Amino acid sequence: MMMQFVCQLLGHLLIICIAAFDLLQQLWVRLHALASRSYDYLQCDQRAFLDSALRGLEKLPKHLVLVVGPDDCYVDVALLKRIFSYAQIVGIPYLSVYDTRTQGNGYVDLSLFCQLDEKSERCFHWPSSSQAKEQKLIQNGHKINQNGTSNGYASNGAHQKQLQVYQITRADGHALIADVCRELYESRKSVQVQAMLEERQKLTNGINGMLNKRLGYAVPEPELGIVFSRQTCTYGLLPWHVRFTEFHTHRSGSYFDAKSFAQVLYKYARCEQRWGK
Amino acid sequence: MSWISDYRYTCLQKLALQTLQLTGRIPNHIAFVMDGNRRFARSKQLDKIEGHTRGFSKLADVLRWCVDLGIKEVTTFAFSIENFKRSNEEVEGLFNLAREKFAKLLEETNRLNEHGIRIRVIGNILLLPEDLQRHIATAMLRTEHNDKLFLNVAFAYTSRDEMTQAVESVLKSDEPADDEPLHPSDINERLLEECLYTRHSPPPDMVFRTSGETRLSDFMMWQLSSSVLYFTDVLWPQITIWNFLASIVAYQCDRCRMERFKRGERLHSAQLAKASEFYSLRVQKFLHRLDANRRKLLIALASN
Repeated sequence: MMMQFVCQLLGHLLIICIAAFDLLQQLWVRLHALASRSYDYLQCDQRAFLDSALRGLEKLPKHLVLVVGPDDCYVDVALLKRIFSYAQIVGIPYLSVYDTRTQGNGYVDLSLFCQLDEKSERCFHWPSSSQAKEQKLIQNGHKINQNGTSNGYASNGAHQKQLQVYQITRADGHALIADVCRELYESRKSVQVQAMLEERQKLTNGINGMLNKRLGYAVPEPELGIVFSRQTCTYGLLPWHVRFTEFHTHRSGSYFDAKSFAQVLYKYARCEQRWGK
Repeated sequence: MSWISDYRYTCLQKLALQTLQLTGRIPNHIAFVMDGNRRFARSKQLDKIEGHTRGFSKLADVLRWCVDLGIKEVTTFAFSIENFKRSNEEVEGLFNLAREKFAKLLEETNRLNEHGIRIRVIGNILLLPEDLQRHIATAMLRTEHNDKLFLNVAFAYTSRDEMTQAVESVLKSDEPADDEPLHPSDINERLLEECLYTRHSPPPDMVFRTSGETRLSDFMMWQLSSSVLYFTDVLWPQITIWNFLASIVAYQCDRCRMERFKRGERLHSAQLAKASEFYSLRVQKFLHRLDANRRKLLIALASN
């Protein structure tokens, strides 16, 4: 009895301590974000920083996926544009965004600032053709700061290619696999499906092809994921495609700048994929 | 029991365990990716198989902590289909370890039944050597009536294979021609979920991965859409009860924030079931047949 009382008391103390720590940490994170934003605004050249910081990295992901948790209220168009520009600078060609928030609750629609691909309904390009032209103009006559660095993340032109961006939705997860299953079931008597049923690997390949076709994905599976949330969770992100994706969580509210991006890429470059071996 | 150790707690550990039990919600289901056995062996200059053996004894400790904390279901990732790419020597060594452990488990069946522990092996067991298939099938059948603690061992498993197997079950569903076949409108994610190996398990509340890797390595990709992912740098054979309790505290903090999302998932699942006649006789008969076929296969393997 006495023991139970002591445990309950300790437990409540623990909860209070954790809650207080969490609150202080969040306050610190917001203060830090404010200070970092002002600092970035005043001086820095993200391109030069990323170019120098990431020089000599052993590997870079080809496909980056951003997961925005339902509780996040800091990821907006401005932040996404910033991340897209970092990806463009370092030369990541494909990027997917999975925003789990609802319309009116922070959900960011990529069509607002990205250009829809003419051939695909799901693929966007960033920056849009007109913005890309503007970038080129800025690059040709760009202003140099007193410290010798140039303003803006797209002011120098090592990687001018447009970024290929995909908006992932909840319907692209479990539901899409079920759709593929339904389609296969409807034609289960056909020669193709019967051939797939002879060997499981054939069926796996068949499902994979159909999923990619539906997703409009002619790109590699995402190798790196950044989760913007207070906790790490996939929130149902593409269960078929993210089996080997490295996940990194960026705490909601903390400032995401070129340094944070470089840190994630460093961690990714350091990790060794063994592919079961 | 060899699968659940007789771990001796210190007073402080007992106090911490009881504190967490009394004040916070304990996860119902934890999934472990036991990574780092080989790196541990390398760091201690041991043989790889010795690293895996140490990893297994650590699993026995972890299962004891889970039982004492009141966790009802544990899933462990023991061997991936991708692991067949390893050297023959290592794969054979792992199979020998599994043979030894399952043989021991069969000797202890009475004690398992006494504690109500049910063993389930999830994965494509037909890829394993025949004698191991027999051990596994016997262990599953002998403990199938237990319902206090569920231990799922993912062996010859990848999530992609599991999802393909679920689709395959649906595509082959109308083989016995006497029953009414599924309607295409019956097929949705709710039905596929019921065709997975983990058909009778709730999704894991937390996935715990050791050794600093932050990927899921094709483990329960379908099931963990609302699970808290907990990654730690410690190698699996080196984890202590404090690492384990730290993960429980992290889960208790994250759980409240995840609750709304989880509720939404449950609601969506219920709506799907209602919209697609999931509870119709046709669908339930199909699922019953699926269970019966899986059991038949186990009986055939056990009697080989």
